[in-house]
Amino acid sequence: MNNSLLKELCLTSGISGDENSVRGIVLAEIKDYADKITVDNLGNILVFKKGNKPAVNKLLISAHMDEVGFIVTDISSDGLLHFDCVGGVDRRVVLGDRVIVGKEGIAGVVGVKPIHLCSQDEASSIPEYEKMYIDIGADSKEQAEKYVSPGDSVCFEGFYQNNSSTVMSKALDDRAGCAIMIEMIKSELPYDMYFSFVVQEEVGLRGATVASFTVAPEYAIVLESTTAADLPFVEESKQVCRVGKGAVVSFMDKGTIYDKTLIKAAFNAAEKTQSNIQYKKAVAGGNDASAIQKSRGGVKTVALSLPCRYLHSPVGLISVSDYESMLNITLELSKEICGGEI
Amino acid sequence: MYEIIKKLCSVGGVSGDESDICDTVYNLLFPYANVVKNDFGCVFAEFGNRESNYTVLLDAHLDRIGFVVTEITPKGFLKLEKCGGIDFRTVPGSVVTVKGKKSLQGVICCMPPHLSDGKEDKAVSAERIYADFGLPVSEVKNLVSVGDTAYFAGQPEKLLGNKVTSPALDNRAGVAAVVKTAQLLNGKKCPCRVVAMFTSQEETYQLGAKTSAFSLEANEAVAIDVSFASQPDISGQYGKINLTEGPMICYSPVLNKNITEKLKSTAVDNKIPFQLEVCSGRTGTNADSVAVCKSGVKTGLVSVPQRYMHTQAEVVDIADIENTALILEKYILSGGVSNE
Repeated sequence: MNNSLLKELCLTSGISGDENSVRGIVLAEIKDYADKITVDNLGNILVFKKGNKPAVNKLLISAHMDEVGFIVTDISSDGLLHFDCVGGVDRRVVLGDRVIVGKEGIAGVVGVKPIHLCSQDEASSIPEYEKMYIDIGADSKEQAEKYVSPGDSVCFEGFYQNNSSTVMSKALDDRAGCAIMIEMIKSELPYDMYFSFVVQEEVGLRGATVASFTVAPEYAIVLESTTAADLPFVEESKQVCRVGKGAVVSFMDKGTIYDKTLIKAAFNAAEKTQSNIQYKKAVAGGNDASAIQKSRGGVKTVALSLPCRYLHSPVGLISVSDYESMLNITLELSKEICGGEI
Repeated sequence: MYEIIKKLCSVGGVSGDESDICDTVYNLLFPYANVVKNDFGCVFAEFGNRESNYTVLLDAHLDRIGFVVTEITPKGFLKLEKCGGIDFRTVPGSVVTVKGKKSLQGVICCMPPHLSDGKEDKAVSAERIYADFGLPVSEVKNLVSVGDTAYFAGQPEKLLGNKVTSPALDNRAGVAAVVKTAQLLNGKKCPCRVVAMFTSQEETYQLGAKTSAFSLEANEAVAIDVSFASQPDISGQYGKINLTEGPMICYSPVLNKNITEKLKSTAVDNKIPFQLEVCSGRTGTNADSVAVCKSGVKTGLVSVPQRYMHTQAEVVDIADIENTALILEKYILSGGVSNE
């Protein structure tokens, strides 16, 4: 795993629709290693990399650059910022958060009514987003407007820690997928392949929709991170997948029933590379596979995901060994798809 | 002042585990005072006119709210219970530092929205508070024991204007004001002796204030803490207290009226901004304990206005801390209530 690359990707702010900084990092990383790079009208990066041989099957590997966050909707007369979430953020992880606001990246906090002044009901209630606000220290609307305007992006403050066996960070969903694709693009590939670093996954798979139209692949591998709920207060049958037990393969989620041949091929690739792999044991969530699979006349699609705890919160957690498993399985599976072995 | 705040807020010191912050406070006061630490997590600093037989006691609690480790699970998660008035609405998804054999940072477990139980309107309950350090259980057990403390890992950050946000500003803002008071009095001719007590365990059972005020002979006392400033979701008197508009001088049945009046006139005479806070009974600060120590101690209370108390997002204005120190300096230079 390239720790410094993952760290740089994760600590960069890039909510859906505002992926510019992430795109800059990706472009700088891959520019010397790809044969054709285009940035499309939505901001997707489409990459073609020649391999040692032409591919029998045309394969697209895709990961999304955007992360969940918030957007400023209004500035109140007392200089506080009203906001809404961009992508799904459970309101139970929002109050008291440190955030980064707007183009200038100024610091703010999500306000909380002091518990001493709360009624019993208020003390255990999480307000709706429309009742929450961000305090940047401004005393007035005029002062706030010098730094912020409605529509500005709000991102969780960055946190990154590598414990050698695990990484805790903001935005692992899906910068870890981006990091794996960058590592692939920088390596020697056996066959010609296409890659897309897409925008706006968290607000409806919009980048992937157009990227897969443009690339027009026959096969696709979506690299994602998914909901590991292997936590002390979750019974085993509801843990979905487990950190440290390998790359995760879904048979079905809220947007896709995955291609059965590819699922089997993924498990075979894991065996061949002696990598860990596990099923996602729940029909939950969804990802760009849903858009890519339905693209044009249909694309045979599989998703490989990193099991990630605390998805869509300020800090997620993945395992380094799962990352390596996912990279190895992706390399093997992509080779088999492109070589026509499937 | 921001440098002092940074030093004070970037260290631990959860109630009952104050050794780190004691060292920080000791080092900050050492150039200006006779400083000693005691066995109950407190620091005492003597300054002003050390020959005077009239002693003004200043109190600022130095502990911060946090957590205590109650269990290490078989998979290496730490079960945490609150130590002080932690607000569970803000806890899931936060980064905490646990003070074990070495300091470790971890995240408080939470569930992703994809697997939501549909109870987003309700704060999580105490039994759901676990911290994840991403380490094997063997390593966690080597480094952490049941009984160790943990606290929000956030570091101080400047906001617009003169405002600053950090966990532990309750009451490191008050500690900073007293440190600044000692600095201001340094080298000045002072009519009285001043003992500043930086006390432990205010956020739990006020052990530090009760035992320290007993041990120290004082003619009067002023407690320095934080109190509530206006924010959109509060009404009543605190809805009219504003950040930046000055320290809050407290009126309360349990406080000494002469001290309260003298603090107020000191601010007026020296054109230092202040605001009034009225408590109809006990104040919820160490002033309550100090006032009834031994045969009773005349006690006053000054507070730094603060938003979002008892969360990792606490906000104060540095100007209010500076002005708290100014009021205390002028109050002490005028002899407190020694002439009344």
